Amino acid sequence: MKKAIFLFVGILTLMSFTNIKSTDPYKCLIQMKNYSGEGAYIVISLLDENDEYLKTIHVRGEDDEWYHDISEWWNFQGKNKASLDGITGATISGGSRAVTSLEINPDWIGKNYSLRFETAVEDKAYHLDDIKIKLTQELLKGQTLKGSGFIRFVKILAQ
Amino acid sequence: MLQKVWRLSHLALALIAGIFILLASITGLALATEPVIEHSKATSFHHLDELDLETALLNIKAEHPEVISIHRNAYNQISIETIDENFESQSFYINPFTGKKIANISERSAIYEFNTVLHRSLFLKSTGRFIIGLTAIFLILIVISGFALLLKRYGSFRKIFSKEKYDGTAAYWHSLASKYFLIPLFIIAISGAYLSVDRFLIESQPQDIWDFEQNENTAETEILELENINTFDNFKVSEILQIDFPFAASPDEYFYVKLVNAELLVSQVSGQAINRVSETPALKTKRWSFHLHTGDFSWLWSIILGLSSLVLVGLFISGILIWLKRIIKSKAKNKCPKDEAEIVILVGSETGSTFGYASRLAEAFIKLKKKVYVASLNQYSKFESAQHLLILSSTYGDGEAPYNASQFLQKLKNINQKAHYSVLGFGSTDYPKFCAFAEKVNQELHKKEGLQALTAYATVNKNNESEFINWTSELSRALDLNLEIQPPKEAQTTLKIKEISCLNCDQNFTLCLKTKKINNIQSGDLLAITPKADGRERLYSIAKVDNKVLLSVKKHDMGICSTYLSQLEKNKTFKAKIRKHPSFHLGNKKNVIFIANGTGIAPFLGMIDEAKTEKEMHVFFGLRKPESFELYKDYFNRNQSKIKSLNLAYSRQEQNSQYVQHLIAQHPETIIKCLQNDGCIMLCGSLAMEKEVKKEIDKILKAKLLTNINNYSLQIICDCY
Ligand SMILES: Cc1cc2nc3c(=O)[nH]c(=O)nc-3n(C[C@H](O)[C@H](O)[C@H](O)COP(=O)(O)O)c2cc1C
Repeated sequence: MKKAIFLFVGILTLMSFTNIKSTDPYKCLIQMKNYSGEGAYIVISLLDENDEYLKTIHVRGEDDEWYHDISEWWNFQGKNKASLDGITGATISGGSRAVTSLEINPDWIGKNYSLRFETAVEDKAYHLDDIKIKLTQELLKGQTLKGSGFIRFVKILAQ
Repeated sequence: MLQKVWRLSHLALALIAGIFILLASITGLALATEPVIEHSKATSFHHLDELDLETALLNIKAEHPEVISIHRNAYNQISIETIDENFESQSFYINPFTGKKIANISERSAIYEFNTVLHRSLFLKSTGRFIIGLTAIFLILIVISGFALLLKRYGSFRKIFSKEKYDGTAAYWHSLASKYFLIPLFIIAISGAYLSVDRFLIESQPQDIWDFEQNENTAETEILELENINTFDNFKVSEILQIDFPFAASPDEYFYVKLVNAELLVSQVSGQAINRVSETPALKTKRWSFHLHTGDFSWLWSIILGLSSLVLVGLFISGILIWLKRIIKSKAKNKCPKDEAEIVILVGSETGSTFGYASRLAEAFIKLKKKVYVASLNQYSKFESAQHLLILSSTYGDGEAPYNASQFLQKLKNINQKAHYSVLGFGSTDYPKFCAFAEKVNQELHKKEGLQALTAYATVNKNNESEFINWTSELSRALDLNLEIQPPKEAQTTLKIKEISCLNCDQNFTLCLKTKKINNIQSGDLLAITPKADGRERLYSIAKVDNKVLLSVKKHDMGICSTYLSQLEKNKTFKAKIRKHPSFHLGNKKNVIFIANGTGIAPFLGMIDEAKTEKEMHVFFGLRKPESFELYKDYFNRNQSKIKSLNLAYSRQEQNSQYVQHLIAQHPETIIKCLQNDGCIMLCGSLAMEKEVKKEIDKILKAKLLTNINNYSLQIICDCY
């Protein structure tokens, strides 16, 4: 019996160690262009060196009924069904901006990985690579990342 | 002709858009409560125009160093967005005077969300928005056509707001509500329509604040502290809608400031605006349309909007009622074809009440096996077998034709008809041109060859039943027929005896009755009682005293009705009809003389009771003996101070026997003063008394003013039997 309790506590301790925060928090500013229409759905994801999806970092837009409009990402998310808990926020409308916090693992930096900002607006358009940029240390120091679709620019800074 | 177009389009538009207008009104009413509630919350601040923006920003920054943005909504609630210690974004309301958090932002109630979507798009997205936009445009047209109809109804713009006598009909309420809510309703319709037009056609967009040459000089420059940014010195909190703080302390990061009518980007280095765009006229129009349509900027305006929504529902219902009444009443059920009719009744009516008289008249003829045809005056054409044209018409506007008679005079010119005619005008002495249209018709008929007068031209003031009956008696005589006009069909009302007095020495007694309909009753109205024993109707003039019906009855030994009433006991109920009698109501004349004998005093007891003290009232009352007065004494005593003079005549006492007309002869100056000051004399009692009193008044007028009673006939109102 004692052994069992010891083992249990041991496992719990191990688990809590593995749960130690492996990511660093960043704040990310997204400034939208002055487009007309509904708020934009935005997905920020991490891509590997072959531009394959690795992980969903943040999703703007909470109504999953529209997620299939962000089609490339939805192909990935639909299969992998990773939980989006805690990494979603409201859509961002034309002309306005939002600040979100992003969890970025230091291991991802400088590995030829990329960040992708995918955007879609109801009845308007879908931009697969509104922004796609290599994830470097430089980029996380507040560089202005210009968007090509609904996004005007994005800036990321350490908290 | 034009009037017909207005009327038809008003109706057609309302019928087509009705259901959507109703829906929008009901949801609009619900939505109008939101600004009222939000403005009354503790999170809403009223004196933001006294608070410097800089002070507020420093307060906020001190309390919440991580603030990202500040918003002021139309309810003057200030919220901020900030990042908490867990790097989560948080939004809440603050007090800008202290910077402290005061409340969480609660989600908008689901009821408001539901109503908004229903109001805006019927849950049909763009299709729904389009339908609602169209509805708003329809509403504009309905308001415009309604305005044209109001003008027509009252004759001129100035007269629209002159007082209209209450008659309790749907038409009364419809025009009353629409004239007072014309402007708010127009504003609601225009602003609502504009919001749709903007969405579908203009798609107004603000100018792009980011569209400017960013100078790329990245030379390290010093970032200013918040208090050193001059731009903020110039504003009050009430002028801003939103401020976004710079994302980082770097020169290419700016404050974004959204003012009510402009946007600014403010540099952290210079403290000056580096770009500014002003609101475009299209956006300004849209913004004001939004404010006016939602009332978000003012709780008072929201209340007006809410009331307007309610009124709109009422207008829809009363409008439908008017329309139904008109088609039901004017659908003359003619049994014989037009060209076989011997008697043709032509009706001019705006709201249908004159049709009621026409059909009762027609029924009396049909009972005598006469061939009758009823039509509106506009349907006038040649009637091949007509011998008699009976014309009943009301007057509208400023002495003009009602809508279904507007083409009659024109048609009359071109049609040659051989017949006898008689004209009865329906109108109201509240209007300066009493029965002017009927009178005009009578003159034109008179000029026409082939047409001959059957009776003298007569009028009915305020639907006075006895004037109508008098005219039909004239008609009976002229045609040598015995026309029996049935009383109008009305609902019976239950009355409960609250008090019944003993018989006084004149065999008179009073009854105090309770009824649910008391609010519809005015002193001077009639109570029509039909005892089962003989099925004949008796009319009693009634008073309203202390919210009860008061009537006075003389018991005749052989009288079926009076005996029946005298035997009723307290708390027993019976049924009777209450008949409005607007021509015998106490108007707003300053001088009034009441003249009555016997039980005729009853309606006056109520009028004296309800009269305002500034009225000058005289009473002339004829009784048999001093003891007879006991029955009414209390009613006079309680109003003693209001009555200028109470003159009593006793006809059956030992000495000084006299009748009420003798009292009149003794007070010529009272009569003259009243008539000359535009006052009125009201008579109630026996026909014999009426005749004698009028004779005396005529004498006085001839002697003192060298004129006669006919020149004052509109000021002398009788209800005698
Ligand atoms: C707006 C308005 C204007 C009126 N103008 C006159 C008028 O100028 N002369 C008149 O004698 N009666 C006038 N009247 C009274 C009507 O003729 C009277 O109420 C009549 O009984 C209505 O009959 P109807 O329902 O058949 O149209 C007016 C009534 C209203 C509501």
